Parts: sequence; C-alpha cells; structure tokens
Amino acid sequence: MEAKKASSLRRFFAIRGMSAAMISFAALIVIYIGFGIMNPVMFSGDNIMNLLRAMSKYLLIGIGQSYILITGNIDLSLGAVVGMSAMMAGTLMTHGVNPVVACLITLVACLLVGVINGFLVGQLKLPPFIATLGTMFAARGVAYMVNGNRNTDAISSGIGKEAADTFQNIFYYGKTFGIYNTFLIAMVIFAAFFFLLSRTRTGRHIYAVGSNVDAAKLSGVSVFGTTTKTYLVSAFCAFVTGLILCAQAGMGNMEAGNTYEMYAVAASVIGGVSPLGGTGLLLGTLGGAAVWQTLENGLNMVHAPVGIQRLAIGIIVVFAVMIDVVFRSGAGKKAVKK
Amino acid sequence: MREEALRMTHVTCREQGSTPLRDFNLNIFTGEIMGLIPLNGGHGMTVLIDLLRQNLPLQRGNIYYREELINTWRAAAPRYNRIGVLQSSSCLVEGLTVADNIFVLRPAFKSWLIRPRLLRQQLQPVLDKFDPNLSAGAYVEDLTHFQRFVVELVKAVVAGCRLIILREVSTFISDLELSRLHDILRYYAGEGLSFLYLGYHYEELTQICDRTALFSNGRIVKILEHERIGAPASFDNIVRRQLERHHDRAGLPPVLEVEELSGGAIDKLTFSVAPGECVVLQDLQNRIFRDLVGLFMGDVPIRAGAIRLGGVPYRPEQNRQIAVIGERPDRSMIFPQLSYLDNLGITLDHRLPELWFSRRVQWGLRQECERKLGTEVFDLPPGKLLTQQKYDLVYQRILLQNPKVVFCIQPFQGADMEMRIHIWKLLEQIQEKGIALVILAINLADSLSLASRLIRIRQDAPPETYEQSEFGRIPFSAPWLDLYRGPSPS
Repeated sequence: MEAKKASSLRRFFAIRGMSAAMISFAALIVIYIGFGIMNPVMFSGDNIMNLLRAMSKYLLIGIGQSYILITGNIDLSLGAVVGMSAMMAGTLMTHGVNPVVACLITLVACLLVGVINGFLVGQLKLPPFIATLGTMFAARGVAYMVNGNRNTDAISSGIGKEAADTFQNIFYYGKTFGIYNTFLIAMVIFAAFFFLLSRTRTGRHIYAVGSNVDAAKLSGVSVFGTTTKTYLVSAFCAFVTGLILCAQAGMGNMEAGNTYEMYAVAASVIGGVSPLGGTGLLLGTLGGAAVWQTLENGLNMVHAPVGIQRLAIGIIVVFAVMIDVVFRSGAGKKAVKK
Repeated sequence: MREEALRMTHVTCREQGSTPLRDFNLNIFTGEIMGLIPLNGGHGMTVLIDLLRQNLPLQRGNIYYREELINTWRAAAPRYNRIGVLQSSSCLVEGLTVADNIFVLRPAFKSWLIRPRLLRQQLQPVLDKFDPNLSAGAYVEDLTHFQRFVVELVKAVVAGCRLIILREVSTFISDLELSRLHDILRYYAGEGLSFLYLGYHYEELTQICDRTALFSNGRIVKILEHERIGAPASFDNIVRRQLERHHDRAGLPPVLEVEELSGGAIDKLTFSVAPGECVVLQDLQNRIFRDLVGLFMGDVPIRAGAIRLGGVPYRPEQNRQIAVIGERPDRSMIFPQLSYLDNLGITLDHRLPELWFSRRVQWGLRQECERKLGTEVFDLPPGKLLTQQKYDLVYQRILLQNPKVVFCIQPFQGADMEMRIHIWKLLEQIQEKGIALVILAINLADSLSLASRLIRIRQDAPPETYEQSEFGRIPFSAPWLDLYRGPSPS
C-alpha cells in the first residue's frame, strides 16, 4: 500500500511542471500564514473573498501569457488589449449599446489582435517581442482613440442604471453561492483552458511547438495554427479582464491594464511556466497569480510601501526564472553525463 | 626519420564522471592523412577534438604537437592550439565575406585598416585553384557546403594550423565534391600538413587515408596500414538480404507519384515510389532537401507539376499520410519537455482522436509499445534516453502513425557501426509494414543498400535515375557497390 502511494506520488511529481507548481503553492501557504501572523485580518472570510476576486485578474492574464510562453513566445500586447477591451466595452455601453452586443463587438476586436499577433509571429516569423510590441502600441492607441482620447463616462449614463448594475454585478460586484462572480468566471475559464492544454491535441501541439519547433513541423504540427491559437487564448483572456476592469470602475479607463503583460509574465513564471518554452502547467499559473496577489494584499495589510511590494515581486520573479534556468542546465548536464 | 605532427601517449581524460579516452595512443606523421573510425559511439570523438584544440586537463599521458609537449597530466595548461577542425557546425561568421573570415578574423591580424580589395586579390588565386566558382568577396551564407569546407580549410592553413581534423565531412557533401575535397587534402598533405579524418565508413576512409585507426571504448584497438579494410560479414549479409527482398516488392503500383515538380530550388523533379519500396534521392549539391520537405509540408509553394498520393492529388493538409524523419532524429525529432508517451503519440491523433483525454487509451498505447520498447523508457524523460532508445522512439512514432510515405533525411548521419545496423533494421521495419520510403541523401553511405532506385539530382542538369539492376554501373565509388557488381545475390 505504502509502495503504491509512493509510486503514485512519484508519478504525480513526474508530470512536467508539477514540481514548480507545487512549489508555488507551498510558497503561497508560507506567505499567507506569515502575513496572517503579522495581521490576523488576513485570515478573515471577507479578506479571503476579496483576495480571490483580486487574484482573478492576474489569473486570467496569467493564463493567456502562459499559453504564449509555453510555445516559446511572448505577448507584450496583452495589457494594451485589456485596456482596449475596457475602453471599447465602456464606450459602446455609454452610447447605449446593449451590454451583450457591446461585449461581442469588443470580443471580435480583441480576437482580431490575437489573429494579427499569430500571423506576425507564426506566419511572418517576426520576433514575438517586436511583433507584439507593435500591436501593444496599436491596441493602446485604439483604447485612446475609441472615445476621443478621454476616459468614458459612467456606463449607466448610456445603458441605464439597472443594466449597468447587472453588468457590474456579473463581472465584479455580484456573488454566487457566496463567492464573487469574478472568481467564478476566472475559474470556469481556468478549467476550460486547463482542459484544452492538458487533455487535447491542441494542448499537445502547444507543448510540442515550445519544446522543439522543428520536430513539431516535421511531425505535421501546424506551427502557424498553433501559435495563432495561443494568441487567441491570450486575447480572449485580455478581453475578459478588460470587462472586469470596466465593471469594477463602472466606466472605461484608457490606462486600464497598463503593464498587465508584465504581471502576466510574473504570474506565469512564478508558477513554473518556463519562459524558454515547452514546460509549464496552468495549475502553476494559478499558484503564481495567488502568490502575487497574496503578497500584494499582505504587504498592504502590514502597511508596506508600494516600492517594497514591487521590489519583493521583482526578486521573486528573478528567483523563479533562475530556478528554471538552473534546473534546465542541470538536467541537461545530467543527461550528457548519462 | 619522419617528423611527427601529433603524438598522444597513454592519454586518459575524464569528463563529467565518464572516461571517454582511456590509455589512448596515436601518432600522426607530417604530411599524413590519418583515419579514425569510432566503432561504438562518437562521444569520445568530441572529447578528442576538444582535447586537441583546448588542452583539457589529463588524468594521464602526454600530448605532443609538432614535437613539442603541449599538454601533460603533470600540469594543466589550458590554451587554444593551432589545430583546425572541419565539421558540421561552421566556424565561419555569417554576414562577412570569405576574405574577411580568412584574413581578418584570426589572432595574428593586427592591421587597424582593412583593405578589402587587397585581401580579395591575395586570396582569389588560392581559391581558384580549388573551386573556380568560389569568390573571395562572397558572403559566407551564400556558400555551398563544399565551398564552406574549402574556405574553412584555407582559413586553417592561413591561421598556421599544421594539423586539421575533419569530422564526418561526407555527410554534408556529395560523392563528387568529396572526391574534389580529397584532392585538396592530398595537395595540402603534399605541402606538409597533416590530417585526422574522422568518419564511420570504411570505404570512404580507405580511399583517402594513409593509415586508419579503429577506436573503441576510449582507446585505439587497431591501426590498419595501407591495406584494404573489408566490411564485416554481418554488413554484407544485411545488404545481400536487402537485395533478395527487393524482388518480392517489384511490380506494385506506386503510392506516391511526383511529376515534373518545381518549387523553391527544385526544378522538374519526377519520381514515384511503391508501398514498401525505397527510393534514394541523392542531392549532389546539398540544396534541395529543405525545399523538397517544404513542398510536402506546404511551406514552399508548388510552382509547377503535381504530387499524387494514393492516386489522388496530394494536399499538404493531409500531412499525416506523409511523415518526415529529420537528420539526427535523436536530436531533431525529440520533444525533450514532453513525456515519453507524449513523444510517442504526438502524430497519432488522427488514428486515436481521444488519446489525450482518455487515460484508458493512453494505457493501451503504453501496453502495446512496452512489449517492443521496454517498460523503463516510459518513466524516463526523453532527454535522458540513450541514443538508440531515442531512435527507437522516433521510428516507433512513425510506425504508429502509419503514413503511406516516409521521407528520411540522411538516416545514417553520425551513426557508428552498431547504430548503423540498428537504423537499418528500423528502416526495414518501415518497409516491411508496406510504407514507401524515400531517403534523402547527400552522400550515399549505406542508403544504397536499401534502395530499389537511385535518383541523382543536380542543378542545371536532368536527374540521373538508376534502377537497382543498374547500380553496378554507377560511375563513382560507393559502399556496397562491389556486391552489385559481383555475381547475383541469388
């Protein structure tokens, strides 16, 4: 029985990226308890709920960025697409467009950015850093232009208070079974994309492209198609995050999602997604997003200055990448030795 | 007394816990071309090259270069020796011209001002002697493999190297180019340069080398002087068996027909291959493989001509019907971050769509393959597999995929004797399953023994086609030709 348990445990940790994901959860527990000891309000039910809601944004953008990182690419336009989503949805609603229609139009626009990114990186083989840097500026430009270079008015001014409240409750303020809808939405999306990545052909192709793009090509994997799919996932996640920010503020903010692409990279990397491609689990991204938000929340609780928060996050990100690089080179050396 | 260019006595060298060189003894005379054949694995070769170039620390022994002690077990003296190396990875810098690479990028070049015209004028006569088409002002990225070797050779000579190591050069250049390279080597050997020629093919080495050393388990086990080395009987038997089997497959309708195909660097290529048959396409200038694979994968647009697979026009989207095994599949075809099972089933989704979400199907696949591949490999990360296990993994993946045609790029590249026999067997399995095999080769090496037909392709000339019955009149030297030229195998 013991041997069986040990064997299944070994199998569990043998899953690529699982160790890193579990490390991020272990770190989460340590950080949470640590801050809880310093300020017991951390353990309160309300704080936990708020923490989960606030974490959802990082989780969503983290999912998008993780997909991209696993293929060995990066998406710098993610934050700008969040801003574009918030501004487009906000502007349309302030002009009286039905929220559902406004969301659909915004979704199409965001996915278009994903397709463009996929085309530039997958088909034209532009370096992803440069290609998405371009689309980042373009998407932010759209976010500025869509309402004439100013933030939108309150969405209730266009669609009415009742519809605005419904929209805001669905995406931010409302609860279902005592849990904020934001978190539930994030978890549904997480589950769907977790399944896509770990249990489908597309998922295997994403890992294959990140692991060895030439072998993937020779094995009949469409590198362009796979790359585009990952950018579409990223754009979709940015779209939902934009709606959440719009619902939170009740208006569209031109600067919404600013530097979120970097938060997304941080959440992914802390969770063990390798920036070198081919490795990583969305479970780790969940852990990474939770670590990030708990740190932010905890440092707020102990009244640490914002600078300290950023410093702590920076150190953790560098540390996480260092572990990845050291682990990879160590594994490589061991393989050669064998 | 003959002067020695290199002497290695009782050299033992350890690297990361293993001992790739153990009591290694070798001497090369000035003006000599010394062959070295690894019998079981090429790892020691890499260490040998690094040792000669960089003076790695020794556990035992001494190394003399041009009769001067350059490395000894008594004291490590890490430094770069003036020994040239020609191998698959180039030491030339792209974006610069041939003249820049040869003259400017060398430690002895101290001039602050570069005069490109003067450099080109000095270099061109030397290059003209070896290849009239090779310009001193050409950019490195525009050179053919043969021209690159010539430039690297000249660069080594200009840099003052008196010993040059050549590693598996025949896998990158065609037979004709190889014979031209041999002429250049003989010319420089006559000038007093020495060469260490590393390769896996007896036939190739006996054509050029004055002496040939056999390397096994970290040491030289035998040195053959001026004698024709015969291939082991087991090799001959395998080839003979192939020849007999060929007759059983004759007369089947072709599964893949390529007619007047043009695209990329390919111009009007025509060939067909039947189930279980093997066609070898020999690229005499090493220019078309990338484009040919690109045409079948849909990356290179078809300019003219047609491809028919199973009698119907081929569309690249149906690419599970055609599989490609790249060069050195142990490196190029493995996904190191995926599990063994994932690696095995990555091209299986058209046959088992539920593979990735059904544990039952995954378990079934594992059970099926365990009988053939063993149990332990499934629990190892692919990066930690042995070379042979990696080959097994890639070929088993192809067998599971069950395509109609397999393109195999230089299947024997970098393989030692043992591995070559193993690859042979793997290729036979593909043929036995009724899958058509198209081998893309630059140098024929062992591919000819599997071939039912050989098509030699060069630019600006129509392809030459030889049926197996005509192999005996192939106008160049290639492995196993004696068997075709001799009495009928039956």
